[in-house]
Amino acid sequence: MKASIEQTELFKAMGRVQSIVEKRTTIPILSNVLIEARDDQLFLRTTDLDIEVLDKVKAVVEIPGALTVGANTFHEIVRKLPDGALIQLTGNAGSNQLEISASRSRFFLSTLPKEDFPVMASEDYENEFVAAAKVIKRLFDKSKFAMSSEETRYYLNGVYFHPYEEGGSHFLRAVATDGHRLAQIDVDPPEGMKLFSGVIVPKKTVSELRMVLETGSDDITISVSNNKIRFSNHNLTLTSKVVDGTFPDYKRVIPVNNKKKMKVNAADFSEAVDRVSTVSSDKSRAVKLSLSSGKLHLSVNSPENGKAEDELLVDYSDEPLEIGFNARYLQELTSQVDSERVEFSFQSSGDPALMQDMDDTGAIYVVMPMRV
Amino acid sequence: MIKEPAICKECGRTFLKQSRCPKCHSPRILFHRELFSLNIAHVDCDAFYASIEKSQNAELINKPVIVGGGRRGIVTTCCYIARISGVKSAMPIYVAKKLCPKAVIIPPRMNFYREISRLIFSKMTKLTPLVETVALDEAYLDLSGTLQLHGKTPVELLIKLATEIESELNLTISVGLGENLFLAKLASSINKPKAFTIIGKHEKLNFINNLPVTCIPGVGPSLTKKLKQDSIEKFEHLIQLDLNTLEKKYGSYGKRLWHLARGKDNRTVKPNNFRKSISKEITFDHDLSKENDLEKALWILSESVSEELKTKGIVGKTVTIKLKQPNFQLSSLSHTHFNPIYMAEDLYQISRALLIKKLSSSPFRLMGLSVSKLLVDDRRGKLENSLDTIHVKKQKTELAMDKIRSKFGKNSINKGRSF
Repeated sequence: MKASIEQTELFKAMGRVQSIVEKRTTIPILSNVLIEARDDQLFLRTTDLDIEVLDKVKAVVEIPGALTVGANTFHEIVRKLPDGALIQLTGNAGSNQLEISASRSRFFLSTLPKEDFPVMASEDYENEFVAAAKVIKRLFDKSKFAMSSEETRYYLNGVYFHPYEEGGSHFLRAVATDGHRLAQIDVDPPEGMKLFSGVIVPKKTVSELRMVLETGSDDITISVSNNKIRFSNHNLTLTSKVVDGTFPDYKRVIPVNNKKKMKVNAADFSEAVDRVSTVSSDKSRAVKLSLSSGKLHLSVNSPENGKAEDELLVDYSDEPLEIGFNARYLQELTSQVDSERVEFSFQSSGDPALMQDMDDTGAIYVVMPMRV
Repeated sequence: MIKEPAICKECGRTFLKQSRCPKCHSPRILFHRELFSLNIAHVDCDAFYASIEKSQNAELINKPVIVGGGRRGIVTTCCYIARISGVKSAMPIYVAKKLCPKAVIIPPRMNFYREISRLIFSKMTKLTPLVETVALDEAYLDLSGTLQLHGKTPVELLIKLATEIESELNLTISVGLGENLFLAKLASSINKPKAFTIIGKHEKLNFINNLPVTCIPGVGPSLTKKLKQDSIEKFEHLIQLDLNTLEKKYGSYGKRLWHLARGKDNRTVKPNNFRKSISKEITFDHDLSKENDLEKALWILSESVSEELKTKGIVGKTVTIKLKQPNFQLSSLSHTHFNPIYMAEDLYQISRALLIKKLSSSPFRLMGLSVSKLLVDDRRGKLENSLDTIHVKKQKTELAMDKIRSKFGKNSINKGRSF
């Protein structure tokens, strides 16, 4: 293999693909990046066996070939070479080495054969459609905060990505919950999307998705099968296994009869919650909301630290209500909102509350109360 | 000479020392110069598990009884008849069988013993709120102030406690009374069973002088060896050394030894000795290595830890599994859950994830499960609010099982994984 490539391009691409490489792995080749030089391009591929990333960059290929080399070291070397330098990559099959040279710097890295690299099996994707990057970004960015990290509830360790139909309207929907709060985000179905059975996109994939969404073109091709999901733009392809489990029936827990509605300025509300929760202990982060006509009283009572109170003017005209929440949950919830005002709706102190962005009907959030 | 105060151990009558009780004529008299002025008691049930078994089955009364078992089990408790043949607790069963071939060996029924223990402790807490639990069959009591509260001195209350336990539960206890925890514990261990021993302030030094240092709680084989090397075998050797020397040689424990040698102990009875963890373990009859077998054992442990959490109204955050390999190498692994848990299903799911990480080092001879970072939160019968409908369903199943079990017995319903 012999190829030359511009430093900036290679550094950017390596930065993307090396992010999924596990720092500690018992299988040595998983620390490596598979480099293939052909068709005037360099294909860079990394995997952790659950996710695979393939990036391609323009290069001048003199002798096509492929090899694998330690992703971290390679990335570091490329980073430290002068900006804009022309990097020459020469693979030596005989000595199992990759020579990296740019101006007067030369590096020799040991390689592992490309045949040993576990390339993810290709899949029959039953559904493939194209969506704008910002649409996909919205679905995952606004729901991911609610994913669970508890290993035992593996079926909640991701975002449930599925088509949904209600009263003749179709949506593409993302739902995440950890049992305490839930986010449900809808977007209009992208053109060409057929119905497919929903998949749970794993937590790590959701956070790595950013690299596909933030680079390259505006359009993302999404391919879904029962076992895998693939996101690609014209440079980058991220393929991921999906969580093997059934997502709970979330529709049953979304309140439909919450009549007591409170409209509040999201930023004011979040700041007030933050202020009063300063005195709460680590164990219980409970904040009590006491609602009466036009007024919201927030209070925290911590046996160890003391008390805190605050008050906000709100739009509320129902009968008085007292309800407790985890302060952190409330803050995370309100930070999802882009517009100025949000609407909370309640039923009683023991029932889940609903929150909606007043300018965005496609996003709803549910939060469980706690005893105060 | 002034006659010492005395009390009848049968009827509780107090009088000035004479050979028999003036009321019931019993010769079981307890007399002591400081009879009414000592407040700290140590109560220890005699051969607790074995005595309970005897109290339940009249045929066992004159037979040597050993509670313990399993294929490679050890003696948990043995009755005093078995002790004559040299049987001791913590001895392997096969050794005990050799020493005392006629012994009746009974597998322990811990839940039943726990019930009896609860009855005994409820009697003790009626006397004073200051009861410190040491074990199911052992406690310290601080009875200062009982004269104002009950109009009776500590010794009178303790005699009443002993006679009540004997008449109602057919069990005997040994009581030690002293000015502090150390002396009370020491006193109760003398003259067992069915003893009542007092170590007064005036006699404490004479009393402990001749005792071996192994009497000190906390002095185990390795410290005994170290002390022996420094030619300290009895308290009389210990008392000759000054505080500095002891501290230099044995660190902070040296300071404690210096105090104990003088009959001093500044510990107080700590009630509500809130437990830091709730744990159960199983030693397998055969070493287990199959995932299925280990999971079954883990489910049994999860259910029994959960049962205790539920009855006590406690929840916990950290789940730890403990595994012992056939070469006795012990390893443990734990996981801290974001929210406190108590249900068997949750304990099982978390501990199973831990077990799977350790499967490669199987087989195992012992498995333990414990829950720590405990909080008091009585959630019995309450459904946890959750948006996770799958988990809510699992909770409902467990609540229903608990309900059925409380009505029809523990084995009336089980999950498939326990078979």
